Amino acid sequence: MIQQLRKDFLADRSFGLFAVVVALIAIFSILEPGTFPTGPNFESMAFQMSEIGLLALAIAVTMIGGGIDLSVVATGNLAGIVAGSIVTAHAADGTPPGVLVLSIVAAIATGLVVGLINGVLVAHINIHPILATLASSTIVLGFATAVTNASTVFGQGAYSWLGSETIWVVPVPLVVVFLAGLVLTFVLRSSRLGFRLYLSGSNPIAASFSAIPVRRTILASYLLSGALAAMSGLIVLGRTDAANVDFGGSFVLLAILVAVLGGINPYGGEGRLLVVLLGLVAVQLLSTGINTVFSEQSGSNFLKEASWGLLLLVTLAAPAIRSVVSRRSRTSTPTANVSATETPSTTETLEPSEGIALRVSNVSKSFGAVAALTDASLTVRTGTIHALMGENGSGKSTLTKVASGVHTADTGTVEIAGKVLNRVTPKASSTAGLEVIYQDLALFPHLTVAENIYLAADRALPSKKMKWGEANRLARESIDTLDVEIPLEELVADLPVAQKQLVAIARALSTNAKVIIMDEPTAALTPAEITQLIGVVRNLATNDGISFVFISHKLEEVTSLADDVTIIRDGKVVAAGPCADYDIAELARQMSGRDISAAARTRTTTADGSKPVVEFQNASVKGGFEGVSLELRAGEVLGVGGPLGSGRRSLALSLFGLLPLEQGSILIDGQEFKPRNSVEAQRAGIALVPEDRRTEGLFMSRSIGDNLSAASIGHHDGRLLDHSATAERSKESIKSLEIKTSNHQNLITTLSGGNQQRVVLGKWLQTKPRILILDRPTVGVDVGSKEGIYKLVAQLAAEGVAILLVTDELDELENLCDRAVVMNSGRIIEQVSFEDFETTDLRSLVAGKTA
Amino acid sequence: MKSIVSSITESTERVLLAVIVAVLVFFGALNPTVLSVGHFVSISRSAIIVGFLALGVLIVLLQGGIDVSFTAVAVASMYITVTLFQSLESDPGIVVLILASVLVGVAFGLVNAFLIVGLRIPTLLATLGMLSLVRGCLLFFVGTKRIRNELPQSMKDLSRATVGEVTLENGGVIGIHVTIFALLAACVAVWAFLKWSVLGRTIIAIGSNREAAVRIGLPVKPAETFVYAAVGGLAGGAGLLSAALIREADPFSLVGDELTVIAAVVLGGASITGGRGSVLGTVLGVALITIVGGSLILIGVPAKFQTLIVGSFLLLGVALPAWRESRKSRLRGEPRVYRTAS
Repeated sequence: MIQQLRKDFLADRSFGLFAVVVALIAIFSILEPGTFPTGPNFESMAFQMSEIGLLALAIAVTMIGGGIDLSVVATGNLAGIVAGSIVTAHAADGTPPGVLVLSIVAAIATGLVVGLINGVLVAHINIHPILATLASSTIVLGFATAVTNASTVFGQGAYSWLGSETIWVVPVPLVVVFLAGLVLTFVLRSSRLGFRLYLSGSNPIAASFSAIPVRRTILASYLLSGALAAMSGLIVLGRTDAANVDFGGSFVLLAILVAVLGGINPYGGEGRLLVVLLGLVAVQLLSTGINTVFSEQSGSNFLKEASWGLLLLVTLAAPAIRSVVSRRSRTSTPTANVSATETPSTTETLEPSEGIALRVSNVSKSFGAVAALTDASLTVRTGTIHALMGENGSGKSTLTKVASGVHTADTGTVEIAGKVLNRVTPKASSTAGLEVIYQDLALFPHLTVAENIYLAADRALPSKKMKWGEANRLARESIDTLDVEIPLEELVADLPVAQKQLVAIARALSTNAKVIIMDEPTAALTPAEITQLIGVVRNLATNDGISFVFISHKLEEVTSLADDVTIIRDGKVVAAGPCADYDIAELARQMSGRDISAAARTRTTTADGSKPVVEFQNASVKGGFEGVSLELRAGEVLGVGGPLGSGRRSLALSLFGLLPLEQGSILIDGQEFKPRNSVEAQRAGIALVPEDRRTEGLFMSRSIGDNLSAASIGHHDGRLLDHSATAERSKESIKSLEIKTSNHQNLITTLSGGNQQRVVLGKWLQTKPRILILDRPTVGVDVGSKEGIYKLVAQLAAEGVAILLVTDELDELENLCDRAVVMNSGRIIEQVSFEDFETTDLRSLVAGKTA
Repeated sequence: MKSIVSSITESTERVLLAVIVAVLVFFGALNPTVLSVGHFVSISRSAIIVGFLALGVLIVLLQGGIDVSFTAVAVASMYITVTLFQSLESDPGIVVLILASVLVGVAFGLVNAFLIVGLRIPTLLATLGMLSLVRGCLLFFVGTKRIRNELPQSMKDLSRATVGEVTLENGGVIGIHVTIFALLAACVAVWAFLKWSVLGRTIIAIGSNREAAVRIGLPVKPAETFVYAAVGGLAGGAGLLSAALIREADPFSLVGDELTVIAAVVLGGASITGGRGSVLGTVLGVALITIVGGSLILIGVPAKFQTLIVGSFLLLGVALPAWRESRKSRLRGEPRVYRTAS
């Protein structure tokens, strides 16, 4: 524990802040030796900082949960007014202790009510926290104004013990602040609520998918914040013996300053409250120091306000400045490398070649000590489709980024459409005719199809005026080349994924691209859409001489589609040549570097013949599926196939409690099961490995261990965490799932895609599920990890877990499943059992080709 | 009936229009004066400053940022300009004064741009820091005195520049202030800029997907710099106009009204995460807030309840779009998960 604290102290901002505190004391003591470093001065500072301290803690707690509470000052004022009114009403009796207690309770309750309102607005009505708390702040102030008629309420001295007494030399309010800080630190560090708050702030969607009650957790952070704000209102009442609506206008800023200075990440998910208290001390020293130095001048308060703003800006600018400085020092040393790529002698020796659209030659690239690419080459012939294959982390994307100028190669050359580039920048490579379409497509959802295409074309930018006519003409031209129908006036946000993909291609064509690199273009498409895409691409290649590079994992697809293939492993090209020279097994072997019998059924059915564990009875979900009935038994692997939009994802989500049924019912062990959220589903023993790992599965700013514990924290522990047991479980998962890492405290981002997927699986296996839903578990996973996942599925089924496997990969259905249902347009159109797989045309059923 | 309701709730502008009509009918029933021409002319005056500021906020929200420093920038630009010409003992005329104030505002805006575009400080926090830095420096270094009598004559004249006099119920005479036309012109200009200029479309593209804008080579940083400079300029102009309208240069004014302006724009359908928003919606949002705020006394609501009622309208204004979004996502069959609001 002590060791951990010492490590934290050095790791984050606390060390720097501590230095700032010492420096401030030294500077002001030298400037004002007579007045600054005196007992009374320090005592008055200690009193002053307590009001802000609680507000800063309040804002910090909400920021950690990914929100912000801007209503804290208003809440504090209202709480002070409530408490003041109660003691004033009983002032004649000399404020008996009972009344004092009552007023405290009423004030805290006021804070909790405002916190509840904020929490409901943010977590349940889903209003942006800035807007929600600003609006509630106005209402709270409005309410206070209406109640007091904008006059001041007095404390009648009842709170002087809180505002002006000291324990030894420490002011009582400061003791309250530090106690609150310690208690909250304990809550955030060691309670289930705290753990969940960090995760919800880090990625609320993944938290919802991890059976964390996100809304309740976020609501709790606003309740805490409201209570803290109310306590600060009581302290103000004690210090000034008065409360009114106008108090502390600038305190919101100050509280945010203290929180951010204390290392709270304004985007959520990170920060420690004890460091916030250190930030508090620094800000108070600065404020008092300025007041002391400028005591003769009027308006030193305004200078103080300015200094707060400046301090906030400097704190936030520090990382940017640091990175600029380090970038300078980095780029200034290896000039030799840059000139190496620019020397004419190296470029001119390579003759631009006929019939070659893209040639990347002998490229090496290192990041620090890690060699991402070693002497890699890629040659794409004009008018062909080229598959670039490799496992995750093999160097495919680095190669792409070198070609497109995102990364500068250490050595090697890039030649696009017969032109050798001297300096490869994104602009230069685009001008030469290379476009990259990334998986996220990089479109503008709020703009029309025509605009999306037009803005990318070189013709738009030099002009100041938006030529809508020309935009439509250009877009029409590009889309006509594709030979598809897409409405030009439609907002891109309203298009289905497949059409978005086509818009991205049309946009690339409008920039006169000669080579288009597409990163996993088929990942989000249905088989029918893939067929259309392939048609479009093939047509452009043959008729217009455009070359395509497909970055892909799907072996079958590649062999049926591409002309040439380049396989890359560990940063080196291990195979290149016409596709016809390779079969699937050979490709798989080259990619992974080992033998994998991809297409052999290894598992035998372990389905338990007894009663079904899960039953869907004529179930429907709005916009998802209709009249679905199916059964799933213990030890059985049930495949759910079908194209995108067939209802397969909705089926998984409804069983996991994330989509309510509109009609029909789900039975678990014969009992009706109506989960309202994933928490209830998890409690029933259900687990879901989601389709989109990055947004739904992982907490990217957290450690591997935190990710592994995300779903099971509620399962294993009570309200308090057992850190050593949690660590033990993480280590076990890492070992049993063969996750490649040295330490469970490493960030999840240090892992490759396949290993990250194992973490998501491990997260759910820690809950010991009886029913496991896998939604396309091998998307974007390398061949080796795929094999591992298949083995795991077989093993879990053998242990009696009921498994629902959503997939569109045929070999997964055939090799893993005991039974398969095929969905289309929200209905089950076919149920096939393992024995009949061979005689059924599963391929076209899954592809969505209805008979 | 159901289809009428849903066709209205589909567009923010229509919802707002319906709410404005409902409010007018309700208030009018309580006190017909609310519906008189004189009353409209009189409250239109208070919409002018909010209107100019709201246009700036709209642009910055469209780009995907947020600016809370604009009130401090407005007041600082105004006060610096007035003090400067006062110390020169000259009155260069209202146009020059406004231009000078706009320029000072642009300068402040460029500082914001440096912090946000150059140093990548989160935009809320950067402008929050600027709010207190600018205001603190103004009050400490420039002055805290309210300037009334020594105000340039051209500013005093502007406050009385009205056309089309109307007689009020209480016998007073009021005219439509000329700056209302300036505001309308500004609205048209901003609308045309957003619709018909490549820069305007680029700003919306950035708010829609910044990463993509960078990748396809749109001039992202210049456009963002322009946005913050423009907000600063609009604020600078609005600051000077506000001093002219009340015939007083008060360094303590405006700051604290940020929320009202931002709320008016959000009420008008702008998304706080960028890409979505319209000039028409903004105008209607400002109109609603002005009508409610300006008519409460007439319908007999005591002054002490006004903040509460305006606050409730703000809450409705931010809750309605949020509620509509989540309803839409439910209809699309999206999973019921918590995601940060837009």
